[in-house]
Amino acid sequence: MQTRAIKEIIESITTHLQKNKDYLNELDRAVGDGDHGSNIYRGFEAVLADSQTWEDLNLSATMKKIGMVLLGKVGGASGVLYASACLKISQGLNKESFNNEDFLNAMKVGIAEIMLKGKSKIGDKTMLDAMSGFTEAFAKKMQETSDFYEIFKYAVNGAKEGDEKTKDMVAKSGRASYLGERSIGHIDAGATSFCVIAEGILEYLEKNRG
Amino acid sequence: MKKLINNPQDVVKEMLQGMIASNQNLKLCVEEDVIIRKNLTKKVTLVSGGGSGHEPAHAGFVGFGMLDAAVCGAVFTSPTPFQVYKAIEEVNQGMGVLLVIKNYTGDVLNFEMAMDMAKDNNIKVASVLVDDDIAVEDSLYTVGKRGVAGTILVHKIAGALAEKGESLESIQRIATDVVANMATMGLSLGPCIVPASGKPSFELAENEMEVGLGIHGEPGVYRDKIKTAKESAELLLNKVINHLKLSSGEEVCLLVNGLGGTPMMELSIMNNEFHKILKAKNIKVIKNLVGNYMTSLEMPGISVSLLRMKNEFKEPLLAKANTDFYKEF
Repeated sequence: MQTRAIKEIIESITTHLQKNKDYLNELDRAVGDGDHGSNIYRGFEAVLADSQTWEDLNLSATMKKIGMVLLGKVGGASGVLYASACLKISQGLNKESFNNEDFLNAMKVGIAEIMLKGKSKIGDKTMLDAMSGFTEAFAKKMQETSDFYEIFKYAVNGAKEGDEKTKDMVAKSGRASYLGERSIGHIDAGATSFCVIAEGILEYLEKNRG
Repeated sequence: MKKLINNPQDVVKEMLQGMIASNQNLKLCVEEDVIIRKNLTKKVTLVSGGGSGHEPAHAGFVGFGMLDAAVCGAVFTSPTPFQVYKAIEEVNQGMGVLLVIKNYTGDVLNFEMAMDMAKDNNIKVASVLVDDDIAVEDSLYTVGKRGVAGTILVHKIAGALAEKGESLESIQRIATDVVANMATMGLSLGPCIVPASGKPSFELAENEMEVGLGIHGEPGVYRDKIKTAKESAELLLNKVINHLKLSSGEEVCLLVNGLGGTPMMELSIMNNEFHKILKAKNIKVIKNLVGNYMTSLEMPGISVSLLRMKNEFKEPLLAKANTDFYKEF
């Protein structure tokens, strides 16, 4: 994949985060401190600025750049977790073109790293619930088609379903967990921010089909 | 939102500029938002920090007898590993650096990553994890108890031991024991407003209070009808006393902490009630702190912490300290 394409994807993600920043803050405010949207947006804004200096980076180096900028700009738990996932994925990327299966595997590597670092599992009302919804749907659609856009689109719906499910969960990880049962009824902001990021990528794919 | 700020994005940087302007013994790493003591001596050095919005914690406790550096993240957001590492690198005197970390997922992840970076660069580091809040102790959930106001007492005791020339291992051991002998419980009468969000963190009716809250504007463990100072003091302190299994004749340090929006009048009224309860149980207060130490922006509310006194704690607790917000002569 060309560096130019990656820059455009990052631009699309940043635009989506900007549009949804206040909504993500609002979700966070119900169970946390209300700044998740601002923090993630700040991170991607920095990635976008940094990407202007990137020239002919391979995929692994690109993921590492993204990870390091997020690590240095977001803060909080979500910053480290997103960054760690990117850094771990970058270590395993050793080829230049990758197929649908490679993409799925990279997502799984990222999820495993977040589970390890965050000491969390699926069902704890975190970003992992949207991510696992994404990979499950991605794997399912892969059986039917090899069109990356179609698979990705289906996976984004899977992520949204996973995100929606967090509403009825009791938070068992992160700051919302201190609320115990009182966290029920609120969608997890981290799960939603993953959906927003995935939607940003989807929009890029949509524009550049065919 | 009604705040004396310029731009929500600039609150931390502008606050830190203001803090160093009033204290000639401090300097600021502008890029990383780290406040550091100017004249470091050859000893174990102490670094703490976390999200901003808890002032005077932690930057207000940088100085003789307490911290050597405070790392300041965005409001209620843990600083990044690079910020924490900068603090470690700046204060390292070759005798070891102790990190005082409040137990929150974000703080733990970022501080631990910074410790790994320090180890890679051959800097000796150790940490103590503070989890004094007992509001969530019976939780089924995995994150564990939170670090709240009691953290200040860890700064005080570990800081004094470091000034005295104790080793990193010895300070870490005693600081860990301080955490094990300390408990905190708080309540809130209203929300705070995070500048980035611009809205109150929760809504409370005129006759309600949140019991068992943390320090990030999050609601408490449960909501209750507001009570008198006497009843509120009993609700909080009895839980703390029972948790520590304090018995007649024991000595404690009593920390009555304001969350930012409660006047000294009310903190003093509560302090008076706490003393009555402790006196009735024949528990002796050898050190009493009353004021805003670990706040939650402008939140009205209070927390009470007790530290069971042990011989090892007493001398460093009462030793000299000279910081902007904690002085002992």
